[in-house]
Amino acid sequence: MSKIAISLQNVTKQFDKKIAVNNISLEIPKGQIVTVLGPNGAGKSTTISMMLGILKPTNGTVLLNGKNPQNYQNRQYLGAMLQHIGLPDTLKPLELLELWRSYYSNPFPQQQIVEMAGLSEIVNTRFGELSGGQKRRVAFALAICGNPEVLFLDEPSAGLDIQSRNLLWTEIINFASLKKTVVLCTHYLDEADSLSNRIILMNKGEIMADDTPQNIKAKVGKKTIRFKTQSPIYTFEETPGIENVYEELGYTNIETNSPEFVLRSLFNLDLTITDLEVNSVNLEDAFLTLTKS
Amino acid sequence: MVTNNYTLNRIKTQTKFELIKLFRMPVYIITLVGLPLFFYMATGTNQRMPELTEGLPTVKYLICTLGTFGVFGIALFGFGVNYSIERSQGWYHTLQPAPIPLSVIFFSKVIACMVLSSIAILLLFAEAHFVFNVSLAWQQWLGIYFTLLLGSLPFACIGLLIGSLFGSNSVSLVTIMIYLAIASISGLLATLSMIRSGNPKLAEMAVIYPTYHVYQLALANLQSSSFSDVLKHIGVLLAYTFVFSSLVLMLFKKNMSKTHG
Repeated sequence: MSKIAISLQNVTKQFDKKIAVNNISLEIPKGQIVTVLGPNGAGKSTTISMMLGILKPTNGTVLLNGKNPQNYQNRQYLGAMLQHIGLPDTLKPLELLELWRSYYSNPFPQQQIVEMAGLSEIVNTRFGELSGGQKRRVAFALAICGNPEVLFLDEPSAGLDIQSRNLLWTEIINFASLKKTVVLCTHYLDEADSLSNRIILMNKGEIMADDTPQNIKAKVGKKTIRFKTQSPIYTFEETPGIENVYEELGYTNIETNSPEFVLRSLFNLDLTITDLEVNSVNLEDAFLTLTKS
Repeated sequence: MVTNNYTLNRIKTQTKFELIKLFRMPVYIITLVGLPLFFYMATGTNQRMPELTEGLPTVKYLICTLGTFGVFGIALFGFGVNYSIERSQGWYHTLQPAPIPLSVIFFSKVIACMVLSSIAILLLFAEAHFVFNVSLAWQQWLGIYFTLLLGSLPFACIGLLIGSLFGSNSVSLVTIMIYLAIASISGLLATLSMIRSGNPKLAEMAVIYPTYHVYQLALANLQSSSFSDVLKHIGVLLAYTFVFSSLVLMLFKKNMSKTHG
């Protein structure tokens, strides 16, 4: 059995004259939680659609568990929760599960899925009568019901309140703990940061970065030293190691690549400093820096 | 053999839920099944109704024409309009990554439609027998039943084509227009001799429509009909099925990744 869940080799997808994905190659080993991140039009959805077997690449090879995902039989290995959930309003979650389970040769037992996706209170309510969060939970249940090796989640928590989102995240983490591969496509950077151990950052049809969230943030490298002081900001402008200094909401903010060195200099200045914090750059800043570059 | 059983089970489950979906829209179902029953009752109890139509007792003649009208409506609305609405809701888009061949989904839809058509035909037979005292040989009942049932296949393809071409906002209106226009012109709601007396050219065009060929085949169970005529009707219906299903497949592939058509 191959240890690679998904493999893309020199994949290009062209629509008429527009190149949506330009000669990308990547491998996702089994058991990883990977986030595909990027601004609108980056080529994320096209890439995911090719992984799901919905779109055929113009050039290159896409393999799912070593097989062509365009053959419906090879999709036994995958479960997908698409961004748009189009399920019949008149069917109930339990019925949808029965239908969806019939598509797979080795599905989870029905009761286990109900518990995994937290559906027990809504199993007999028609889909059309469910709230947005409940509908997403049903879609998640359908995505995992076939006991897939690879789970695709496209914007899984779009439109969810914090409580529902946290519940969904827990469910995703629980599923991944069964040594499954999860491919996440999201606009929410905190979701990518919290859930995944690898981020593939795409822009204009190409891969800009492919690394752990920590390393991606480290690539941008900066940290922010934040504190309150009576001293005006020009006091710090000449301090060595400072990249940028600015005031915001009563705090002085210093951006630097060498926080330890700058902190030592600050203490040597013998100023009155309160509420001192040192923050890593967040993924959003890293994302913006990398896509701009 | 295992694969065959597996496919058969999937068709059974899919058909079960296609039927549940249909029967959870009771107003829709009652209207579709009830319309030919209502027309039959209204025409059959009309004091000015002629005893004979096109050489047959009118109450028998109406079983064939209104039966065709019934299965035509079920195929267009229960199949075509439903397909368009589900397509707009994104149901087929959601199904795309699932490990299920689309042929299973369509085949199940056709079976569900046929189950509904069967109910409509049997209710029409019951009305004919119990209300209008129509009695036929069992071969004739069976012949008409299967003619109407199999005749709904080309209608289903036409329904699907309409469902593929039009979005959920316009599909109902377009379908009603096509339904009533074809039903009227091909001789389902007014006899061909009535149409001929008012507009001979329109009556000549009746042969274009598949509904004409289905009810002519149904009538062949009640009166003598030449073998070549029967073959001609079957040939036209097969051609309709082939052409329309090919167009549907073409459009289906084009529509697959779109949520709204």
